[in-house]
Amino acid sequence: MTNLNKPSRRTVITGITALMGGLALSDTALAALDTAYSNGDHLNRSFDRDQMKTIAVFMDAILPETETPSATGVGADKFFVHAYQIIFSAKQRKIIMEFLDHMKNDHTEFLSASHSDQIKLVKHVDDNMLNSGNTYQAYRLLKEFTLIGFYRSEVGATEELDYDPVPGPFHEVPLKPSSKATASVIFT
Amino acid sequence: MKYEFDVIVVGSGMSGGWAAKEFCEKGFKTLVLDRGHAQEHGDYKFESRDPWDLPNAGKINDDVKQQHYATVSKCYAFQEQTQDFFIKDSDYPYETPECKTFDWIRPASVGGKSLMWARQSYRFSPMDFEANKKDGFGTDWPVRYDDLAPWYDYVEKFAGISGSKENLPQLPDSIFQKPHVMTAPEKNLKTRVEETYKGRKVIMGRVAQLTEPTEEQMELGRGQCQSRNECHRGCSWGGYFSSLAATLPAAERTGNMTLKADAVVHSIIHDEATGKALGVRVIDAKTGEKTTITARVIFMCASTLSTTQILLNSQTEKYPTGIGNSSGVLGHYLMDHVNGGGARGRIEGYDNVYFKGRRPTGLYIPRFRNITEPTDKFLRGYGFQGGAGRGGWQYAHHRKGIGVDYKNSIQKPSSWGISFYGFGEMLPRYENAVRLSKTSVDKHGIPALHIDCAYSDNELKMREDMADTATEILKAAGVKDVERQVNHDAKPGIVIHEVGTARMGRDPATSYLNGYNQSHEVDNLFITDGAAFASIACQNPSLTFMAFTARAADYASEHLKAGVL
Ligand SMILES: Cc1cc2nc3c(=O)[nH]c(=O)nc-3n(C[C@H](O)[C@H](O)[C@H](O)COP(=O)(O)OP(=O)(O)OC[C@H]3O[C@@H](n4cnc5c(N)ncnc54)[C@H](O)[C@@H]3O)c2cc1C
Ligand code: SF4
Repeated sequence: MTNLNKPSRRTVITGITALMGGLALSDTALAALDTAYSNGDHLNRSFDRDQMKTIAVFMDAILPETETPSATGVGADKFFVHAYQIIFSAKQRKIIMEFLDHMKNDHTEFLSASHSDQIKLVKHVDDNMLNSGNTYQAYRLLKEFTLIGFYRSEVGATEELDYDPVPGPFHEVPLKPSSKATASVIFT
Repeated sequence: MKYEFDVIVVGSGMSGGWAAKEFCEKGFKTLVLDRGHAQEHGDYKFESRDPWDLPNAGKINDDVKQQHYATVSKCYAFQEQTQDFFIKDSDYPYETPECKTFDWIRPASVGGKSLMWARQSYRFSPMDFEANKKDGFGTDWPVRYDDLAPWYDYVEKFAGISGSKENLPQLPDSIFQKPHVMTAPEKNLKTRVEETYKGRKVIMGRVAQLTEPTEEQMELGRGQCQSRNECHRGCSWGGYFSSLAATLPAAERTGNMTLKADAVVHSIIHDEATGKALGVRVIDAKTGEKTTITARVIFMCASTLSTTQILLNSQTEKYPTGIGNSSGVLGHYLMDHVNGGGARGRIEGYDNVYFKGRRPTGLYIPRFRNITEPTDKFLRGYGFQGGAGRGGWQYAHHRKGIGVDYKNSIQKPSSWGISFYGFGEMLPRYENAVRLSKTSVDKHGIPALHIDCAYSDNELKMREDMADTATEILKAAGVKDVERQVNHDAKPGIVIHEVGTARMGRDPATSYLNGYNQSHEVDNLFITDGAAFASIACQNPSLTFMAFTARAADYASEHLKAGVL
């Protein structure tokens, strides 16, 4: 049976291309979309405004502004949208959507709550992050991509951490109080 | 008969690059065929890209992995940055019996796996070439260490291996460029382990990375390694050895090499009248066009199992089970290393010690089991690879925590961690074998490989022992919170050191090749990749592929010149 509500692959691609600022889609991205499309699960539901706000509150609770900007200050939330569209599997998209639905339906005051109450809730989820269940799985994914979005950004890598693309021969150095950890990830 | 080329080399990776260089430098018109897409040295798509310039932060969608890269995505080096170097499994399926996984990790471009390898380079030792004879597993190697030693010297001078001289009988020294350096906690571990166990040594990992480039290497455009540890993306500086950076440019500059990408070798043509291989059948990966190409000599360097797949698929009336296979051993005695046993822990102190650069190697503990320390639990032994370091942000998401304190804690390196994991020798067994599938074909219609291989009790006991001794070593060195690690899910293939299936031997009735990697039956056919191995030892094998290939090319050249081939 044909699902008439299903957007065509073409529409989906146009939507995403716009989202990515007109960036051309790689083969991987297209293949990911094909999978998403064949699973029937995808972008007729992207994030709405409240969902974006929820994501932002969580991200900035995890990595707030210090001497450097917060997670959303460097665009980690926008990267999360990209990750949702391109990098996440259908299963991951499902648990993220369910998590955001859960926040909307069961924590109706979350977005209007005071900053400290918001932090309290995020902290509660974080304290239990190693528990099983989709909520915590969604939170772990959100946390992982908060860190990826922040520490892989130019500000995160070069200002918050120490980024040295061509370090020269490996050697030991003293760690001073002012020293920062390296931004580089092995095998990247 | 007029041949189109003197030599055809199938495969342009670790082994094929050497065959190409040697034949071209000796003046032979050489055709190198590779199934993979073209890849130019210096034109690596993701090299030097800053983290913020990676569209997907290095990640690949899990659904895409499952659909198209189900096996290669199990390799730690498979990422957004290296995806183009790995084969699309869905285009080239293979089979295994149910519940008997074999993870066959294959490359997708010219350069083969020499592009993504981890560059660990160790010689086999005299006792490795004698092991089969001693305990009766497998067949006796028709060569001994002394036959290969000058060829190790030869390839090492050109490739560039960094390491330290240790005078260990079980791990002969190479011709070294200076070793990478150990950090303070690693030096302490070395001292304590070597004091506690007289037969155990902790040495710097030996790698095919230039620390003191020679004139010859610099002439080829290679330079000193700059500790970026982004080697898997490709390195335009030629800091590490790959066929693309080293052997293929050396072949190219002679003017004798023709290199064809997207050239899938289907089979070898056998001339029943002369008993020789005439050439190869090739399918253009892009157009599907089929051609045949002739040469006086054929070198098979498509990597262990791809080479054997081509040999099995080269069937004639005389050789219904594959060219040169009267013995019936073709496809049998498949081996990989056994891994999955080790330990990790936390090092206290050294808070003020950090490092600059990303050292592209770690520590090595050469084999001691059944050398300095016998055991009756299993035959042969294993070495350990590992090292100490301080983690960074990439592990922080596993930790609980939010807010300013959490962010500030990530700004500092975490405390020192250390780990060691074993690489053990798998015994050669007839039942670990490959054959052509009766039902499944790849996208070019070539019969898929059916791989039936499992670790035996000997390997499983070795894995447990790796975990025990790694735990013991870390505890003896004062490491805290030591966790013994055993991964029961690690199956053969995933170590990516597969060898065997067209083994060398002294007796043509029980082996496929003679001691010069030459087919016993088809004298102008040579197999010089891992397929030729009669045993696997516990060292990473690629340096030995290089030495055997250079030696076989020298032998074949002499015979070509003498008109015997
Ligand atoms: C992530 C990783 C880490 C590794 N680390 C180490 C290490 O530290 N030390 C070590 O010793 N080894 C290591 N290895 C293994 C090492 O890369 C291989 O042993 C080595 O590259 C094998 O050499 P080869 O010439 O046999 O095959 P390859 O280098 O794979 O080259 C074979 C070539 O043949 C081509 N080919 C295949 N089939 C056909 C066909 N039908 N027609 C035409 N061409 C064909 C392929 O496209 C390929 O280019 C590692 C491998 C990987 C993937
Ligand atoms: S670590 Fe060395 S070889 Fe690897 S990419 Fe850097 S410079 Fe090249």
